[in-house]
Amino acid sequence: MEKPLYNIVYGMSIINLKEVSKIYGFGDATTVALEEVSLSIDENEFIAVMGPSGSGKSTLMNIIGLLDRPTYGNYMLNKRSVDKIRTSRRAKIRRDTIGFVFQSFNLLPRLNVLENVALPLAYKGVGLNRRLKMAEAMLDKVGMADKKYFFPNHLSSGQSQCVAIARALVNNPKIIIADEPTGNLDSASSRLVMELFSEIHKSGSTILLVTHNPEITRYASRVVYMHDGSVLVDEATKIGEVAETAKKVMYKAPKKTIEDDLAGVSAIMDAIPQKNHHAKKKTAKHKKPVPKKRKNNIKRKKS
Amino acid sequence: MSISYRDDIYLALRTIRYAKTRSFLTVLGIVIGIVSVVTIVSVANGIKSQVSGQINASGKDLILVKPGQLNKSNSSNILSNLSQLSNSNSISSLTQNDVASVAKTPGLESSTALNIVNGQVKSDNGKYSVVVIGAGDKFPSLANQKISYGEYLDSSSSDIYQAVIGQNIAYTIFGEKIPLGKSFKFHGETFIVRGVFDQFKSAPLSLNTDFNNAIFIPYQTAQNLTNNTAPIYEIMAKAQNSSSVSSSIKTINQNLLQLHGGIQDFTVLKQSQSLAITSQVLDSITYLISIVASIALVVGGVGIMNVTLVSITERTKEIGIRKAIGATNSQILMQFLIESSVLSLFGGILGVIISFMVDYGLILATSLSPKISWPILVIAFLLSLSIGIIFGSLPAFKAARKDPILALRYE
Repeated sequence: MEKPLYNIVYGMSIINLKEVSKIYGFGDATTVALEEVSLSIDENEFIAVMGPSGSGKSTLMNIIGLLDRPTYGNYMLNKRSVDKIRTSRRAKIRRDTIGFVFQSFNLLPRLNVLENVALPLAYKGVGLNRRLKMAEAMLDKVGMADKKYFFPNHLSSGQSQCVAIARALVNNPKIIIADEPTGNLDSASSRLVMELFSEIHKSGSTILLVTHNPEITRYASRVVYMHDGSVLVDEATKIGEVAETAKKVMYKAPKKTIEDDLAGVSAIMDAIPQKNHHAKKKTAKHKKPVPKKRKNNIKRKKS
Repeated sequence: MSISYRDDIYLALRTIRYAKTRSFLTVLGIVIGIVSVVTIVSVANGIKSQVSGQINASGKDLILVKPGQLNKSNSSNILSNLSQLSNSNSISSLTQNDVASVAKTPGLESSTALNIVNGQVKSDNGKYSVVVIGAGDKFPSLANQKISYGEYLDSSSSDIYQAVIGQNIAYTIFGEKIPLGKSFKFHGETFIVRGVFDQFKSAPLSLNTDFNNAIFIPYQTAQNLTNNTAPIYEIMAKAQNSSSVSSSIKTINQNLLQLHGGIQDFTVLKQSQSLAITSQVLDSITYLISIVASIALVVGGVGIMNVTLVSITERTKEIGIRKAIGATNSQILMQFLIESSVLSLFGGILGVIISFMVDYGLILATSLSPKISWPILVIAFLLSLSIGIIFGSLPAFKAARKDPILALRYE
């Protein structure tokens, strides 16, 4: 099997994964979501994680974000192994060092914008007044201060994502994990949100951003391309330019599978009108009916 | 525990406000339970204070001789207490000799006996089954009871068929409040109403006959009507001074024991003791009914548990989000525990409010005068709070242990 490209720089990196595997289920139903992924991420990197659905991107993000534990392998966060620490301790590390941004925003519908942003501070134990002030300041940074008393259902998707980013940032986390943050947004909102990420990056945060949109790699300093639970390509890019791998995805024959189409989350797919979309899907099916790789008896994880 | 409870309470209140109907239906069981427990205890409290009012009215130093033996040794046994309720009036172990013996006891200021004549009373309005009591001349002074209208029985009068009636039956039998001079037929004789008693202070559910619903005729007349077989209801006596009460009780008991051949088939006690037994019986009943009523509380608790479980499934995504942004398991646990407690407490408050209304209704509609005291309120609150905590803990644990990834993916 082709060895994935990676560079291990011990001591420097904020995130260090060493041969991390994640296996779901057992027996015939075993699914390998991650296969011996080794990845080392330095502080203030902006990493775009690309790959088709089921390639293990989300699993990787969950493990890095301490929501999940690897089945095998070792994960060092901030030079400390976090594999064997207790759940409550993990929650606290998650609260203090990691900010999550989701594709579907995941704002709590019963809390208003200000309360949503202040929630991580509440779990930290910051007093009510102070935390509302901090949340307000953060909302001001993302340009949503005038909407602070709105409820999430009164916001546009772009605005919702800005609020979600404010919530992820409010604890000053070192790492921001964004799982397809522009997946539900139109291009204008996407640009707005990405500019926001860019600013966060400039202020020194480490950003891990999962995306299907090759254009997004312009903002990244490094692109990790995943496939079947392994890192296929890991390349550094210049900020402002589309990464080489992404270019291939974008301009040459896209490595699409049926699952990609079914997931229907990629920005490219969204851009294609409905009818053509259907037609393309059919041709794709005829041309490439079977996914390239299948490990014997091991099904790929679908997210 | 870094997130403050205030936030959780605020959030819980908001959740209740969001789903008013559902919250109300959820806590209905708690409301019913609290209403029944509070009402029962307050009614019992009311009766007890009425009983103590009765003690004060008739004087604490009154000595009563009652037929039969009251078992007061084992107050913890509910059944033995309840059995005292069925003390029958129809057969009395007290005789005329006992009355004479008590009257002759030294150290007593005065004494009198009450006997009971069975039979129907016939007035212009119809036939009634009323307690007819033969009473001596000294009855009003011993019972510390005044006459509202007319006069008390005059045993020296040549007309022996005279009666004084309790206030409550005046209207039932004669159709008017002050039936002075009205007549009724009893045992074939025509009685004339001479007077109407003032309201007797009586306690509902008490062991004693309610004198407000009785007709009083001269003692001798009662004896005549029944050929001296009228059962003696009780002998009342008053000591010369309050310090000699217990010694008088002892003397009376000894004398009567001799007359009864050493068999203790009667009871000599102070008025206050007699009423204390009433409150004991009442306590037992209250205790028993409260236990039954608290079943409603348990059912209410199960209702809360059920709804909280559903709500946790509904809010799986929320739990996932909260965990992703750094909530620990115990913080999630606390959130839902507080939510169910607030819900249950809300039910408790609602229950107490309704209890106040129910009690007010009881005051208007019945002779009961329920009293809601602070201890009952505190117990009601603690009860509903603990039910919220007990029945909320299982769902809360379930919520806390949800896998954040699965929870986040839940739609």
